[in-house]
Amino acid sequence: MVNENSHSSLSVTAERVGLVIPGENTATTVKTIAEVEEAGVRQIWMTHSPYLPDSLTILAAAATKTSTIRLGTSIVPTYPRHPLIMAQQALSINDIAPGRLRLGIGPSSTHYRGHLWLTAGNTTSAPP
Amino acid sequence: MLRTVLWEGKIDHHGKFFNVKVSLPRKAKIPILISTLGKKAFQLAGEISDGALSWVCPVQYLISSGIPALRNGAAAAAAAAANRQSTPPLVAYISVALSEDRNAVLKAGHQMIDVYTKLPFYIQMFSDAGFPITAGQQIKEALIDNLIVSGDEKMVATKLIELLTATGLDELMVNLVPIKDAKDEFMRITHLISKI
Repeated sequence: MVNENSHSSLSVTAERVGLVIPGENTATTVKTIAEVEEAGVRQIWMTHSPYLPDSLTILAAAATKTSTIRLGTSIVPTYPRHPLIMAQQALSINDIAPGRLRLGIGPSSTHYRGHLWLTAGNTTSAPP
Repeated sequence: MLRTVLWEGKIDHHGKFFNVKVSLPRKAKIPILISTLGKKAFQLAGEISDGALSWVCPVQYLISSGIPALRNGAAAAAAAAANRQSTPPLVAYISVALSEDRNAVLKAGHQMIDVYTKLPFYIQMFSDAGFPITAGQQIKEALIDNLIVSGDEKMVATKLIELLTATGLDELMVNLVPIKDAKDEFMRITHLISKI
């Protein structure tokens, strides 16, 4: 437990610590994000798995249930999503939660691309 | 393309993979961060992004390799007058286990980290970080000890504050490694973070 007496002197660090939220179910994850905001967490991050609910969809729903917490993705893979579609999704979240979204993106890996996006032997000609 | 669409609300792009010409009714300067693992990725993050997101990187590697590359990238972009005013923040992925049971933490650490020994780019990063591993083999305990902050709430809070104040890391992305009771430990880490 953090020493309550030291809380005020340490509060400058609070904005710099975010929490990764498990995202196995959209409804319960949205509820969890609202609860951690209520508890005082300032930033949450959603990771990505092709086998779990879509993180941007979760954040869109969470944006309607929260008011201050920053919402981040770490990361959304770029390969399966057209950049215009990615932008539309991000702008939609920003409409609900202005200034609270940080969009983390990445290429993911050849493992991911090879198994879930590209046909065999076509691992080099996909869009970046 | 993504930044242009988001920040300018319109794009006229004709490249190798995409042909897009569109104007949107709105725009927003949503920060775009990119994943970073190797030095080139950190350099690129410094050049073009609004933040670098690390993943299972030892802190010392971030300090000795990641941050310098990030700064070099930002400096190069500034020199090229690419609207880069400062080095973007590094958000460091830090795993936390609320447990003083080292064997349990090591077991959970293997479950979480051994998978990366199958991926060559992680093998390279761990090697660059001073933790050479053999593909497909279990990782060594020293790497788990390095990657997972463990202990009771006071020990973990002290370590997180140390990381924020004495290392040059801009932000922490705390990932809970469940040890005994995932729900209880998640509530405790939530409370801990809210009090930092």
